Amino acid sequence: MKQHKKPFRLSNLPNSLYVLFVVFIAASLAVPKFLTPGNLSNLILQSSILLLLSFGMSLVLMTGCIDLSVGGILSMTGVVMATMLRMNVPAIWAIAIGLLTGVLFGTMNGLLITKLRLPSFITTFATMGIAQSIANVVSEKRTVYWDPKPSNSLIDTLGKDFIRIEFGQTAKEVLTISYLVLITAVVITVVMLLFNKTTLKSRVFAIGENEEIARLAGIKTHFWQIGIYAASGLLAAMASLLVLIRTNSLQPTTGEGLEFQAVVAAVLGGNTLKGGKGSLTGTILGALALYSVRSALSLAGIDTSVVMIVIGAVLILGMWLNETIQMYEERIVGMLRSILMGRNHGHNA
Amino acid sequence: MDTMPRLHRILDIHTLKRGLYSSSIFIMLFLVFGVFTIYNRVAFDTNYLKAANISVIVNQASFLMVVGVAQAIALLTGDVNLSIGSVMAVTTVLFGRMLQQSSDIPLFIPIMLILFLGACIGFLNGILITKLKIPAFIASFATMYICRGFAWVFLGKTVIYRLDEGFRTISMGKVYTIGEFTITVPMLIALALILVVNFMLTRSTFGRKIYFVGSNVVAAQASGIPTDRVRITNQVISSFLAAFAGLLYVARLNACEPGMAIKTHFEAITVALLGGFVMTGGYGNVWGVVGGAIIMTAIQNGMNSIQLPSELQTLVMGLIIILTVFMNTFLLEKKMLVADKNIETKKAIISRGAQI
Repeated sequence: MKQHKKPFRLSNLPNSLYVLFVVFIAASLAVPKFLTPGNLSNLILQSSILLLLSFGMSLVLMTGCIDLSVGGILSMTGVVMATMLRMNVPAIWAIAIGLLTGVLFGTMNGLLITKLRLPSFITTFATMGIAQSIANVVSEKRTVYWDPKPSNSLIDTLGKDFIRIEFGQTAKEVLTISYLVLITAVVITVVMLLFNKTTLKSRVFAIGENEEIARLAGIKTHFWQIGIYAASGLLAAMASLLVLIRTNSLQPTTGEGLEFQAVVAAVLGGNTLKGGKGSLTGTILGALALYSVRSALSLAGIDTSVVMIVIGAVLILGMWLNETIQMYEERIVGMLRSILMGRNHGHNA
Repeated sequence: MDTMPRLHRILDIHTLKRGLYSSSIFIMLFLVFGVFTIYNRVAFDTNYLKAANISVIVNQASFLMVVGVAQAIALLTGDVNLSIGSVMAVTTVLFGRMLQQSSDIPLFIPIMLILFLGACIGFLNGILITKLKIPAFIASFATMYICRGFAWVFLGKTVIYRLDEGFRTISMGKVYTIGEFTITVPMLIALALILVVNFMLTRSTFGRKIYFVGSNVVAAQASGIPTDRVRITNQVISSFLAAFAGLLYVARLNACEPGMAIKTHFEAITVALLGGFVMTGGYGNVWGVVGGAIIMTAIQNGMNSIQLPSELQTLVMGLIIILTVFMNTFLLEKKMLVADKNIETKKAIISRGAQI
């Protein structure tokens, strides 16, 4: 079936585009060190962890549920992988088992929510505690290190840079893209292709809009919901793999608070908590916007407590901007047209 | 002719069943207390159920009840309030500084100012939710960050301690001792609060409006209820109670610090949801919060009493939360079923009576 191309409208663009645009321009103007190749590659590397988490979160939000356990899953799978590496298990097996743990935990979330019909917020909050406590018990509340050995050389390799373009001598003039960013890019592309080019999107939206009607229309709602939760768990496990490779060790508390950041990135990207609509492109831009603010403020040397206030303000501003642009779209388009055409249509609006 | 006695009998059984099904939290409470009592008796030969211990549990639960009620009111219109903990932090930090600056002004002036500030933050939340149409989750998350940030900026890394002793009675005061059970001031405060809120929710027009807005905003709007105003007022009450809870916590800790109550929003949501409130709004009874708060503290207290390592405590807590919420949903469905049957039998009896 050939899809019809939608007419261009401002509200068809992902919402977080404006936020990212405003934040990016403001940061580049205010902080001179912000717009350098070195900082940008750092920004992308930092945001890739959040990106994977918020991808899973967006999918769950689209079905009208929420997954607060992603932070806990990140800690737990990370600890599992790091402990395996410590026990001299070959890296590839450690990674496979870690990812499997994430999938299983996500499936358990899905089973609780669909089969026992529990509300997702409180259930995933409880499983977050469970995952976090497994992480603490396994690691005995200590950072897990491992010795570099031939069996885990894969971890070292993945930590290296994939592309390195030098614009100058100093570190800030070097654009680097590491394997981690490459992995993230591949995963994101696969998820987006699966989502946009198969029937997954319409199924997920149908479930989010009205689960009962989706079920009556012949969609296996429970199967897809469990699948989405499993995918969220898998993406969280991948995010923990990135943390593990980047820091070459793992703290059992790594994931604390990340679930909220993931929700914020997803919501800035135009996903609603009610489900039934949303966009993955928006999520990417939302995560980038969030990390641009952080990066710019930390480069400017601003205190972390002020950073909290600014992030809260940006969040309100971004949501307000989304709402306003949708509300005044007609007028803005009319204004732009009148400016471009050189005629004044303003009085008609 | 003999329809009336039958009607009564059926109604009685059904009312009983409904009563049973809506008291899941108390069944859970019974289970929790039972398990810990038996475990304590068998393993350590101590009495978990002694009056002194119960008194400690209820006293601690009173603090949770206040935040739980604050969250429950917000949840009733479906607007979750994540900023409770931060509101507590920012208001009490200012309160501590006011006490420090001048000791000769009467205590009720800073208290009034602090409660007013809490109400103002709630008003801001309400405006963000209704007028700017930001989802409550995000709006209150943003205010949570902003308030916490202000608290850190204002006090830095210092802690204000040793507060006015007279002020501390609202958290530490003891009223009366029956046997080993001590009735404390926080218990009375929590009880009064629950009674007032219960009266407001069940007996006043405003309370019924809250439930209506929570179950269906569009329908409420269409029947002429100023939904925005109801939701804003609701947020104001919620944050006001948060500021009040902040005062209670400060009086208990005898210190103000910007990092206080960092997980309280989660605790409050857990207490409210355990008490039978739902995230979508429009359902719930304030007395459930009492049960939820007592369960939470009883579990904490019990796990400490059997010396469970702290990393396992979150695990047990998670499992118990899942179990309780499962019982809530399961029994609620049963209750609805009974209600349906009840109406059907009533209809059947009435129609048969009409035929006769």
